[in-house]
Amino acid sequence: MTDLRRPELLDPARHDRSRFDSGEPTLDEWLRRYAGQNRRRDTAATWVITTPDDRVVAYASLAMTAIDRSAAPREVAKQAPDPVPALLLGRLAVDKDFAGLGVGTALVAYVLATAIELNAKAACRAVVVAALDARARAWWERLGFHPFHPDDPTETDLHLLTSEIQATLEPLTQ
Amino acid sequence: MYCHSEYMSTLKEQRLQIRIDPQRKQLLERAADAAHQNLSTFVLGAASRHAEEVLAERTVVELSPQAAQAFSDALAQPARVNERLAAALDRPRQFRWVD
Repeated sequence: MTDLRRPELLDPARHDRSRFDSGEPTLDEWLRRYAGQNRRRDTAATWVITTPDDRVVAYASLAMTAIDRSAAPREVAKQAPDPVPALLLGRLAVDKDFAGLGVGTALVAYVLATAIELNAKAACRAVVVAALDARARAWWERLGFHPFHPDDPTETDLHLLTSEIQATLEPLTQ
Repeated sequence: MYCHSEYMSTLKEQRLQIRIDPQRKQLLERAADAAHQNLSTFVLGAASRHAEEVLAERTVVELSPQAAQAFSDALAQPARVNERLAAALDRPRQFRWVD
């Protein structure tokens, strides 16, 4: 059985990212070249799951965002509804050598638990993901994520409400 | 199987046409040469990286009218258990945490 460390913040000095290969070049390259700089600009936080000897096997990047509903039809909302604070899970990738073990799902579970905690402390009403393509969208839908535009097959932004995450996770952790 | 563990479709059946002034084209060609790539590969790679970055770090997620309506409706509903999520989290892991 593969041993892995629980999710922690990426430490560019300690974590070995050089071998990371998810098969998605833009995500691999971003992790290898930009995660450190990005953290310094504080636009996203990068969480990793590693082997006991610090090889990165999965990563996720998180940022706070706001969901803008102002395009909603006027007759329903007289004034533009407030933006909804949410957690953006902008990137998620798993190394091919560790595919199929449930590592990606475990990292998502960690992010969802984070959203519950954030919601309790500062309001975070949803988790938003940006799927890169149709295959990624299908993966997120199998996890229960809802496309924002349910009838549009090209929609690649999906969400889970923090309320449903909480209703789903609570019985599992008791 | 994981979402980003395989390549996207490699069928290049779509065409993107962009007008460009000669100086800028020369700049891109020089950079592509320096990166040992052809111009298409170079431009597409750079644009894809930027596209991914923009989408992954949006501070605002703008919804279309229909999506905004659907999302507002969902927010107004009482919290309910998400069966797909529950099933996914219930699946046995093929690894263990070291602690």
